[in-house]
Amino acid sequence: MNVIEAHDVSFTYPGANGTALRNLDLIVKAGELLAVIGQNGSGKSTLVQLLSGLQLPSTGLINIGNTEVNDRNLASIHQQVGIVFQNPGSQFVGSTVAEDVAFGLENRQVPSDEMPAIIKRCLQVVDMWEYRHTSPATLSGGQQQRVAIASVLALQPKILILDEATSMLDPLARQQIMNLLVNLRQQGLTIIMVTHHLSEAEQADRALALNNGEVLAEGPVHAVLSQQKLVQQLELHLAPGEHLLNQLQQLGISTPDRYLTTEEAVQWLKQRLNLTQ
Amino acid sequence: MNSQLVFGAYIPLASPLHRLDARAKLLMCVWYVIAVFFAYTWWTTGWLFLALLAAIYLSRIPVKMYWRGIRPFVWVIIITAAFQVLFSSGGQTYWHWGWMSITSDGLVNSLILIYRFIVIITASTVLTATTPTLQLAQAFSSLLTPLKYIHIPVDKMALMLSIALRFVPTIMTEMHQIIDAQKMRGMHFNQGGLLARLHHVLPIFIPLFVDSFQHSEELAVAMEARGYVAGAPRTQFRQLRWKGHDTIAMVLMVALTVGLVLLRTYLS
Repeated sequence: MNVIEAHDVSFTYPGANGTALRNLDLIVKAGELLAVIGQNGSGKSTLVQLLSGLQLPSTGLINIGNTEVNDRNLASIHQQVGIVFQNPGSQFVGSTVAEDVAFGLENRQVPSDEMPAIIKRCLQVVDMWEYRHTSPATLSGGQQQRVAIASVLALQPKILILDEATSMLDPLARQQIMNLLVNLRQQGLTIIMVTHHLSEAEQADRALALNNGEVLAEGPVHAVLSQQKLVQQLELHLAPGEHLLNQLQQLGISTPDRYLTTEEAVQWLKQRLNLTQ
Repeated sequence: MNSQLVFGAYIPLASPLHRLDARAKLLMCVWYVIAVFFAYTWWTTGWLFLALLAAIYLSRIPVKMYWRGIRPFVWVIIITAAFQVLFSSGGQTYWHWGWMSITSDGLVNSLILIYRFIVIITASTVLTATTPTLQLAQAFSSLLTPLKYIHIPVDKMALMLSIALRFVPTIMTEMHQIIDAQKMRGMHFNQGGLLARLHHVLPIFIPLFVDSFQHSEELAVAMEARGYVAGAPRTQFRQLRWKGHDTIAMVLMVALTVGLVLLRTYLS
């Protein structure tokens, strides 16, 4: 089942000379993890804003489920799409973790007596329940992003969008967020993740590569990431496995043509070195 | 516990003051601030200062952390007090030059001014450190409910207040980072005269304003994405409940006021 359908979508910011996004066609299926990759200014954040109803397309049509994204349906779109932004410190309203998760529920007019159970469930999902009385300002960046995800999950969205949500985090925190996303995908949540890191993109089902507001490539993640020229053009942060293979190539050692995840690269290297364990 | 307590930051603890209803604490704080303006003798100022010390003790937050809350305002207090000393007249004159003078009344007034600054900032910090900002906003909204009938957007004002308080620690942290960055680039904030020091403030405030606008824009988008619509009805996670200890607290405020009136009347 398609949860997002975008047809020939273009968008120009008011007063801007250029088009931020041109003639985009996109279909996202339920339960899919889609990685959106591209350089700064490629149109990734514009796409995120259009899919979440924070901006409306200049031309073209976007449907979220059966709802068209337009100014009459924004409440319904916001109910279906949850979004986590890049800067965790700018997303908090509440003075404690629990209060911040409650903010969206209050907006939805969820009865007060139902809120504690929802808050507990969502904070347990992101492993932040023990911090419920803590001020978000005192948490680490990774913890703040987990709280931000819990705040969005509390609203039970069909689609979770992360707009470079790991870009300000250290490697360990990034990995924790990725593990969380993989778990959420396994539970059936549709996830769209904007990232500059190949190590994150490689965990998606499909990838959408944007450049100057246009789609450069779209398809299964391995097929997209195997296009070496494209990966170089997008100047992504290479995953450790990919980095190793590039170095070997420069030394004249032949490596597989297709994209290998870090785990696959390790397996390939073991075979080349005739290691049995 | 947050080691960088600043004005506006909530410290989650289980103290008697934390347990009070936010409306009671907000009323007590406003009441206390008004009372401060009626105290200008040793007895009355001392009486109100004792009450503040009791509140600090009951908050279970160490005194040194309140000092950290006052520290950013020290220069504002010193400059304001200096103006008060130099431009007040009355009483015995100790020094005189042009239209500036130092008089006994000026010195007393500046001391009262310093006292008022310190106790008002500390009382406000007691309130914000012991009350989550959203509860404070609820209390504000609840106490000003009658104003809704004359179409004053009390709920919006309450949320604005809560967000402003919530962002104070963030902005303060960023200000310290900007100051450190400027120091690393050769700026010496402790050198030069008053005008030179004021001039040094500019490279701090410009990036701080830019950052603040950025935060507000990002927050507005995040709030909208989480279903916030200005003026739309909302439910409340924390229900404000007035209990017996809140009534006792208000009775203590009445006793404090009666004590103030007696001290003003009989020991002035």
